[in-house]
Amino acid sequence: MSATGSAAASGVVLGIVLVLLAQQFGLLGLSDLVHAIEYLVIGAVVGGVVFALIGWALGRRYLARHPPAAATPP
Amino acid sequence: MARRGFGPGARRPGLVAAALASFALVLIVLPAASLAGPASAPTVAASQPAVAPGISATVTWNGANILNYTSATSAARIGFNDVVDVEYHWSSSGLLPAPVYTITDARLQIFYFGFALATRDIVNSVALPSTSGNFTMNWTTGSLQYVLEGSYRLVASLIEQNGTTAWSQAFWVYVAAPFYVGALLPIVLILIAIWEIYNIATVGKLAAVARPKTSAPPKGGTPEPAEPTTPAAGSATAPPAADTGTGADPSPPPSGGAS
Repeated sequence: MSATGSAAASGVVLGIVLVLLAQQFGLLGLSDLVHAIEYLVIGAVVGGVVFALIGWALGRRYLARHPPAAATPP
Repeated sequence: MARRGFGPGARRPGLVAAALASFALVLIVLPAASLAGPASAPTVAASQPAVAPGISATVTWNGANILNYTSATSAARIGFNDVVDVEYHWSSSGLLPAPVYTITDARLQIFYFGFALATRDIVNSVALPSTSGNFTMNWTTGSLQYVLEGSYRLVASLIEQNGTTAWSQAFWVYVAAPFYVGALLPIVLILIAIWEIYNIATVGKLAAVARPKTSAPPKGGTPEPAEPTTPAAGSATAPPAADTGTGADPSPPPSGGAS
């Protein structure tokens, strides 16, 4: 999986986790099922998009800092 | 390139975190399924201040009216092992003659994801039709406090003898764990968050996987031909059958051949 895809997947999980943590710290109310699902979906989408961009940027930076080694002559 | 011991084609570490997140959700849903009220219990609409038209009620939470806690931001705060004194006072508010009600049950439910995590009832099975009444409940979060903390919506309701909800009111309570993370669910969530942040911080290495590979020779190279085995001079015994693996051909290989 590419860096972008992997970061997007991690971002989805992280977005859901952050919504649940916000409820645990009293910042959100998840007692209503409809609103809870809305918050979770929004967290997953925002986390996926944001961290996909971050993963893409990190992948670019890694390739810039680690250029491919020259092929060794036979 | 291997990523923390996982090959690029193998299962991704994010899936492990997703499994942990699923476990956390199971922690949420399992108590909801096991501790929810009986199936025959009437469903309570949280936003309904009163179902019966001629009844009014006041519920106090440690002496304060629950109408002070009608939003998550103004939730009443309780700590672990706190016992809350919940007082129900109801009265008939119709025109004279005031209608009578037979209120047999004062109920308090805590909701999460739309499920009733816990239901407490104070039942007066010998209640008589009346125009007013009182109930007293000592409420705690019980064993749920070790799993969950955070803001929860509670619904206080009064149930008539026929099972209908005569009155209900929703309010919010914040269950505070020691040091904010003294419950199981926030600990699990924080661990998942740390794992995912670590994954994202090291995700740049995956970009090298998609990079075109150089023409380096394979690490193992071509397999080295086996040394020809010849039976020892003067040895008339055949090699043991276990050497062949199958035992189907017990004869030794011809001289010069590869076994």
